[in-house]
Amino acid sequence: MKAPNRVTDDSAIREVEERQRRRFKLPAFGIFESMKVTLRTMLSKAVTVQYPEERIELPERTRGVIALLEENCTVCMLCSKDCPCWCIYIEGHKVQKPGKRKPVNELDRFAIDYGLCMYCGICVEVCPFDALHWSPYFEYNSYTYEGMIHESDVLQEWQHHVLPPPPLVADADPKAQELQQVAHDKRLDGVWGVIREQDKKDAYRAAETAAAAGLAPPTAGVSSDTLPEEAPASSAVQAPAAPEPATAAEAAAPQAAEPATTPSDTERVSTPAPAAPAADLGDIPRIDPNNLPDGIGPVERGRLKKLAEFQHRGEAPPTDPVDLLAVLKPILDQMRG
Amino acid sequence: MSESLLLLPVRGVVVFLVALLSQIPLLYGLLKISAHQMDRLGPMYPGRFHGIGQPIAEFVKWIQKEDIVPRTADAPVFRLAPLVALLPAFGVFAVIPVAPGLVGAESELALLFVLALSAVGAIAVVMAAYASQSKFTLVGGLRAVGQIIAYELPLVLGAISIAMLAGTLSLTEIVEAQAIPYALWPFPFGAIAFLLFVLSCFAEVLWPPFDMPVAESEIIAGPYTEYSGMRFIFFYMSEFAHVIALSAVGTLLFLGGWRGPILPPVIWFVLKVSAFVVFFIWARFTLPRLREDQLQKFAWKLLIPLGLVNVLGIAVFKVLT
Repeated sequence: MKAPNRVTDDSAIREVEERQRRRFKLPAFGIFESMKVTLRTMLSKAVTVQYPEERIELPERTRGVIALLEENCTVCMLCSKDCPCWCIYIEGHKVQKPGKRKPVNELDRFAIDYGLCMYCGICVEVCPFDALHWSPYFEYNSYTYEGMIHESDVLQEWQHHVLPPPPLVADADPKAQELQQVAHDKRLDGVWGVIREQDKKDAYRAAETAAAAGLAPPTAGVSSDTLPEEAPASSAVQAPAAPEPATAAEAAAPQAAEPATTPSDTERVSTPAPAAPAADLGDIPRIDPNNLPDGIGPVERGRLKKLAEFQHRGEAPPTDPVDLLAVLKPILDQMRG
Repeated sequence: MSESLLLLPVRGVVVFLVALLSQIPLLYGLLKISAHQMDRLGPMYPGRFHGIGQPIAEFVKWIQKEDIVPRTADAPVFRLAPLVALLPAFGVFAVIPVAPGLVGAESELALLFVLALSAVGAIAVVMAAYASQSKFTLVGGLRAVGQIIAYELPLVLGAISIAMLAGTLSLTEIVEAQAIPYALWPFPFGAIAFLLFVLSCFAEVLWPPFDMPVAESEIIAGPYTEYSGMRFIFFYMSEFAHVIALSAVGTLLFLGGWRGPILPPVIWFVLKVSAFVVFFIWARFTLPRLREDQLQKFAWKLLIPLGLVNVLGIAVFKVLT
């Protein structure tokens, strides 16, 4: 009886083994082989990165530190309660706001003791209001234990490194796509990749007051997706991250290569987001983050998505630590033609 | 005669300084080459340029450490052992000719002197091992002595082969005997002698793949386990001096010493010795450690018979030609 799952025909393996056995080898062959290997590594470039002087480009969603988005926090204490290290300090009080029926929580103090934190990320997972995010920042050391406790102003600062959520896959549920698009559009304006509800409100109010005073035409300075009412409308367009250029300001941004249509600074003065410099995006093709070209590596995919963000906002892509346009040039050329 | 007597202290100091200072490039090369073999960079900060000051920093670190003598140790012998290791290793430098006429002490029996002094290291290891009164040092000491005795023979047989071919024990004359093109002894006698010499050099200085006496995963640091501070570094200095001295002797015996075109003799000599040392470091950080019995078998069953046959063959060859 044969065992059923045994490979019975191992002639191929035997043949290889026999060939290896027959191959002529010098005595002490292994010594020469190993000396060859070490000689090759000795002559090749070392892989060491001299950290403070040199840096590697980290993946853009690296889990470095936990950053706080203060205006989203409702002092629900879920993160603090679920923290296994008890390293989150939250203090708050209740305030009766005019126009609100119930008193609302106001945050007084939010601090994370990074001397205790073990980076499990439970607080990020558990936060129901997306107030906590993983940030790729990591240089937060201190010479003292007290210095490792970072207060909310520092945690807020780290939000600047957080990217918006990645787009969904192309065949996702339409409702999910719509909701995601809303969230995505919300994050695109304001500070890099951060939901800025307050900024949005400020922008709306500024536009209103400007319209009331008759100083400027109502929609001259505020692009369409900074107005809360119009954000869902632009998201209804099939291609995500490619809303219809509704206003002059937005239409001009991707084509900033032509200086004639670039909006002047005075036109954009009421925009609360940091005024984007006139971006020299050249003639790069429109990048659809949901539909990237096939056959490119994960790093290039990430960089393309990053470039898509900048393209959408009409800003110049960063040149540090890598020149996005330069490193992506072969792929962009391929997309173009 | 009186002039050379007056110059004697000067010569001694110069030889000592050469022996001492040549350790700096060796240690630096050791750190850097081993690092690059592992795709690392090695020291980069001391001395501002690629960690060039690291050997000095290491030395300063070691002399700052406390000199501990175990309570149960045989204190006088324990204290003496590092010096017994260091001084013969430095003494070898006295008879090594660097260029024609440029030698600490010209001797007719220089090769014999070198081989005799390099065997004294075994005594220092035994002193250190027994005086420490520790199991690890004892095991390490026994291994070291067994190894040095076993590999002294192939080393001597390799060197004697060359002495027979050249017909002299003077290192200067051996170099003179190596006709142009450089370093060509009659085949296969020279090649076998070279093999014997190089392999036993590794065992003589207790470097991998023959470092069972200091096998750190089994017996901590072998005979040096109980040492600390300056005395510990003396053993390492003697080891480094041994490496350089044996490389220099190997260069003189097999690579044509200072002979070479265009460049001055001293440069040629330094280049050849450096190549020898780099080979030692390269092999040291590549090859894994042998087992104790494999080491002994390799010496007694292969190297020594090979050496004897080689010497016999050379004798026949010399008679016939």
